[in-house]
Amino acid sequence: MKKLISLLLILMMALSLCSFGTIASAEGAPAKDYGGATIRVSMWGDNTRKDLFEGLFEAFEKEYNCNVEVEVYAASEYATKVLTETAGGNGPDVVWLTERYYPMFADAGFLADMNALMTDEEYKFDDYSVSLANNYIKDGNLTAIPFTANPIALFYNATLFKNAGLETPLELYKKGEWTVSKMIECASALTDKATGTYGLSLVQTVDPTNWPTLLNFIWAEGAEMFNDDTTKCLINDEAGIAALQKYYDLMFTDKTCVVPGEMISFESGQLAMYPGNFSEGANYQNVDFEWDCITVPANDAGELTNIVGVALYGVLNTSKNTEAAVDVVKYITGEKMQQELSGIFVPTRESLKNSDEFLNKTEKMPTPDARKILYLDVFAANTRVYPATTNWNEVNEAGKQIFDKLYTGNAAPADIAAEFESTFNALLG
Amino acid sequence: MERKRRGLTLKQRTNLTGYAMISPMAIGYILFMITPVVVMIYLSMTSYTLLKPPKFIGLDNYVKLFTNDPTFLDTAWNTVYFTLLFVPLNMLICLGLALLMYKNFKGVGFFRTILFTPYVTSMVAWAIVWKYLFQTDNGLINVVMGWFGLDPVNWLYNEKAAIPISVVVTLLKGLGMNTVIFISALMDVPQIYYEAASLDGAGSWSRFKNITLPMISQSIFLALILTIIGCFKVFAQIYVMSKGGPATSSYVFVYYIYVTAFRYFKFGYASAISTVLFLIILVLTAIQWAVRKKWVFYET
Amino acid sequence: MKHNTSIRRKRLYITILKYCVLILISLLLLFPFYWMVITSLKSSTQIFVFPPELFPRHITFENFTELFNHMKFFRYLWNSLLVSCVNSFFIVLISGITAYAFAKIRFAGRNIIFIFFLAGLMVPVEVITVPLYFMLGKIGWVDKLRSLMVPTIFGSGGVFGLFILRQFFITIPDDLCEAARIDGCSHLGIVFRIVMPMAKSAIATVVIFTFANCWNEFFQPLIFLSSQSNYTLPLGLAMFSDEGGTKWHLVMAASTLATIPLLTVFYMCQDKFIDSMAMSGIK
Repeated sequence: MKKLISLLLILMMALSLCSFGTIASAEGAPAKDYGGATIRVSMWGDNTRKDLFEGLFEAFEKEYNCNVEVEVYAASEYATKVLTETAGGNGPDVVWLTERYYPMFADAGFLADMNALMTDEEYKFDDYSVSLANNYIKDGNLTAIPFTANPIALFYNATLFKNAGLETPLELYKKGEWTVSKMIECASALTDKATGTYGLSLVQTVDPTNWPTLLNFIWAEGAEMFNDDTTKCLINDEAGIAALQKYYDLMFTDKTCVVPGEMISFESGQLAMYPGNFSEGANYQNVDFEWDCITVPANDAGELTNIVGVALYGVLNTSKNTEAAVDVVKYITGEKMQQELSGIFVPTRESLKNSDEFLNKTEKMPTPDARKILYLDVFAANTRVYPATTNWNEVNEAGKQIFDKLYTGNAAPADIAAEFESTFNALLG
Repeated sequence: MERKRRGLTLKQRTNLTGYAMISPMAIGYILFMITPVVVMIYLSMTSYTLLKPPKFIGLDNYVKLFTNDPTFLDTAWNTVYFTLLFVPLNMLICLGLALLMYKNFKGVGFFRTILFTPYVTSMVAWAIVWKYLFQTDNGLINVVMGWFGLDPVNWLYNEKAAIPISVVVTLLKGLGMNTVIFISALMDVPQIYYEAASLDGAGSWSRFKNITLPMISQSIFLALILTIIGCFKVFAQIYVMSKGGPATSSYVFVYYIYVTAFRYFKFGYASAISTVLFLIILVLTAIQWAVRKKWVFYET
Repeated sequence: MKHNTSIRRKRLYITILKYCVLILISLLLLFPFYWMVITSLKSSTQIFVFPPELFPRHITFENFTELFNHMKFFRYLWNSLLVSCVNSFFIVLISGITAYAFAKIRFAGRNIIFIFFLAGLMVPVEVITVPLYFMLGKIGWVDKLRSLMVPTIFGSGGVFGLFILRQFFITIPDDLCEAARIDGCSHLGIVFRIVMPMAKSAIATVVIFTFANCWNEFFQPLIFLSSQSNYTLPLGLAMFSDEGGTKWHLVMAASTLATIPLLTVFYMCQDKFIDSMAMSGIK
């Protein structure tokens, strides 16, 4: 008898809770009830990021009666882990992707469509820049949402420029003189063997093997590494060999450019310029010199092209609850959350990117000028996305190995170009 | 139950008890040791990638491995190169240290502990510290070289140095092991032989050559094979220090397996490389066992 | 007499030379540890001082507090501890029972079956990791700590334990076991009440070897685990060093923390430790 009563009580409590739930959500949008389902979201990063996102998802969890689990993996292992989990039928529901891994997932048919978002009025899909979002609409299906897009930011040590009596890249940019030749000129003026100071690095210092960063330089020299759909390597022509030769000379003849592997860090104050991610600025808030960032320079004809790295949200169609997963994406890429996150991830929503709040963010460095140049000027000029193929890991590793031969000084640029052509064409064909 | 048991002979009952007691281990062993080997051989004959289900392709993977894969050739050569550098150095230094240490003297325990300290440390931590010491920019080794007027060397980004550096790092970490093995072998040599030789007026070199070396040759041989096998399994130091580079100059077997399976997702191909490595180690172990068996018989 | 002094002098020289060599090698082996600890106590700006300070003038513990923001050190420590302890316990338990059967019960075919088990010593973990990953993926064990436990307990680790324990159990007189049988003790009773207590030193060998190996294992965790909350210490350290890049003060602090636990245990029972590890070499 006692048992029966307690059972009834529990049942009543459960019922009342349910009704409260509907009342609570009735005020806002018509929320759905996912019955306590667990939605797993995978991203790269560390625990700070996990905590941040779990905090942001709390409101969603309440509103939709579900449980959002954020899993963070090391960036270097991320794609492997998610892909193996997914292939093993064990994958998450929502994933972060980069433009480089997108083809792998799309080609394997792992990505569910999120077409509901395109027509959702509240979501304002149009706010995403068309040229960017169009890359991820396949056969009329929206397969991924690009939530942040970052051109390469060229970090420079302003103190070194001022001490040498040189105009800073920002001043040159404003005068319309920020070109590759000018950059090299500054670099050789700032290189100082006595203090171990280098004028320039053309690859990221944290990951010098990440050779696609070099594409900006190759393009500015009028050469191409791949054709438009990345099915053929085009570097083995006059312009391509000349570009490689120029890079080689900068490293080994002029010695103004760091040879990758030297591990010179920007914090040490011994490196005047290097290309990196805008977000790396957070690491330099306590250094004892002035710095800023700017776009990579235009070519000598004054045409500016910068490569853009994109991070995307996708929903895996191995998910048992794709509807809820799409709602998770809708929530986190919605206006409100994107604004919340705009201090960490540069938003792709036009309304947020153009807002004063983003452009004039109060922090010591980088300056608001840097933000305007990188996120308005660059996008208004010409952006290109990183090349990507379904076997990108293999292409990437092959490229890394061939560039290594250039960096160790063991092969001539012309041989390198020929090797790129034969190796890449074998992998792409 | 009781009646059934009574129906069995003593022999049958003993057999049943024996089988019952080994069965948990036997089942687990078959599932987690034998099955993976069978699965590996099966996968090695498929074109399985994580993105596409296994498709049987016979020996194609092996044909490609030996005829059309320069990276595999580099890998094999690097492993052999590593072994050729590592094994003689390791054997000589450990034998030398063992000869210095096998007689009791003040502080022997202390030195033995120090020698063994890196061995107990995880290879990841050890390799990270050495990576720091080998930095071009302000790495301590270059700084010390600077004191002698030498130019800094870009150690970690040097095709010729990649394998030698990993040999040095591995060598220093593992000295304790073989030294301890040799010490215990040296302690087992009966003192009486030396005394007899001394009476005959044999010098220390001749005593070493004629008595010590033959008496400990079995231990040396066993340690030799184990050390060679160890060379074929090198991974963590490569992963931490050079990631196989620059170019393919420090690709070794396990690293190539890792990259092929977990970077390129070519599980079939990675299984073929694993099978080749498995066969190499199998042959080495078989030699070791055969020789040991022979010696054991010889002694009794 | 003269002859005698020259021999004595020669001996003295040899002794001095011996100590010199040993001290030199000791310094070479200990220096990396010194440099690791010292660097972990330097501030981020001190790292870039040229030439680097061999004896830093200021030491700081900031790196360690900062490290805990980047790396779930205690989580990794717990995972490593859990895997090492569970593996050691079950290997002693399961291979102990199996070893007893092989040593003391004369069942048919036991020699052949034992050789079948020993063959497992020929299969290095690195070789079967790819197929194992494939199999574990099928049963949903990827990114679970048990992927580091079950295959080790029944695979390489278990076989090693079986080998060592059987060797020892054989030396225990059969009369002892038979007497217990006559007193009505079951086989399992004999294992736990008679054989195991007598084999303390062999068990210690197996425990130390298993523990140290699981603690330092890197390849399998790298492949089987993916979430940070499941990382073991070596894996967490390697990943942190990949991302930390040139933040050597933090990377060295992480290395220091990862190295201390096992070294402490090692220094507490070094002789047993060294003998146990050497046993694995002679297997």
